[in-house]
Amino acid sequence: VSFVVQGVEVGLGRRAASSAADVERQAREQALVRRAQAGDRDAFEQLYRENVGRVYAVCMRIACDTSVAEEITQDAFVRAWQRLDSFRGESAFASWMYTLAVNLALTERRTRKRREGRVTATDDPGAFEEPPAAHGPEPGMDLERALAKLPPGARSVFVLHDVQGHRHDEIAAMTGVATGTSKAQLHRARRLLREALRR
Amino acid sequence: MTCAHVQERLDDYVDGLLGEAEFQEMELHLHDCPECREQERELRALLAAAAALPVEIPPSRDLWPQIEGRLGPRVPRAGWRRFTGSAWTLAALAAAAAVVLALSTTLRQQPRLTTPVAPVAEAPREDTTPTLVPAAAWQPLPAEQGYLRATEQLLAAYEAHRSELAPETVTVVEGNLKIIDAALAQIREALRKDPTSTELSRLLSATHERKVQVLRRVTRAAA
Repeated sequence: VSFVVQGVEVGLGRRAASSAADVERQAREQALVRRAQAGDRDAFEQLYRENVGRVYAVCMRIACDTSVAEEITQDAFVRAWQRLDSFRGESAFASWMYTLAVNLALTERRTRKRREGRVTATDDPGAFEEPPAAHGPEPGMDLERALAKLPPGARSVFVLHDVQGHRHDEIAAMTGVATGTSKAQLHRARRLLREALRR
Repeated sequence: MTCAHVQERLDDYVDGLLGEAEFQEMELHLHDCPECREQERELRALLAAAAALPVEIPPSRDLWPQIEGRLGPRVPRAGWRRFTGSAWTLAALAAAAAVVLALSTTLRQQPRLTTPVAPVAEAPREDTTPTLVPAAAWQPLPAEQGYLRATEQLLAAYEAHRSELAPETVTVVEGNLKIIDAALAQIREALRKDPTSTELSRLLSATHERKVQVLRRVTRAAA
């Protein structure tokens, strides 16, 4: 008896190495999750400390705002605590936690967009494709700064694909967009970033 | 191959997604075209820079005290959320209805099962507790691990959107996921008694596929 999952499994991306140390870490993580599921806050704090860097990084890159990223990170861990019962341990806690945070970050982005309209980040690629200002192109624009100026949809896909190392089918499962849309957004993000870094 | 075509396909080229013939055409063009070669160099430099960005960034302050202050006692989820969107509701209801109908039909079409599988309509619809199957009762077969990992990730995505759902939608979606889980448990039990049954294997696989499809449609509708 064998089953094939057609590209729906979402992991931590290409950077998730597989080694004996990882197996040991996962076993320890599972023990912490079981304790947390039983209501042990110390165990949950350990899970927080081990995962907050990755969670905050992806929230920060999607939200492009320190205070918003901190808020989403907090929300994600509070939500995880409330929903620990639904985590059965078939995947790594880090992966589950990461997916929860990515979805919250994307939801917050959509909510903020509706609430505030277009501010610095916009889904309109024209805003990023405008010619340089009269005083000339800004020198030394690094990748993080260029990323922050991308349209949110393109930025999210670039972060998930090229920074975090997820495949398009994984991104589709996480974000709810079609795989083709994910590819199109990535293409746009790469083109805009190359143009920005060229200036 | 033209420069425009190369520009269009450059992403797939550097990502290693081209077929052999197209790959060879790209190689030839890049060899002869300095402009496109420069585009390729730029793209590879961008990807290298992206891959070098830190995957982990510590927040500037410790967020734990505020998180801890918001942690209530761990209790089973209860209560329903506000009604927000008709598109959401329709998509979720359609997905759930399709699952129940398709699953009922599938189960009725399995007359040669060695162990009878109860119709899904007999599942306890009134119990909408979101913890779908108690951990102790969830003993999957080794071959199901891929599906279980997939559904767990999709459930995490669903959890992130759950608060945006109408109560009616949550009730229907989770009620039907519960029905699917009940069916899975029965199929699994039958498969343990008759592990060589290809019909049961197919049915188990098809039921998992439906669960994945429902979760994907629900999360996609929320996006």
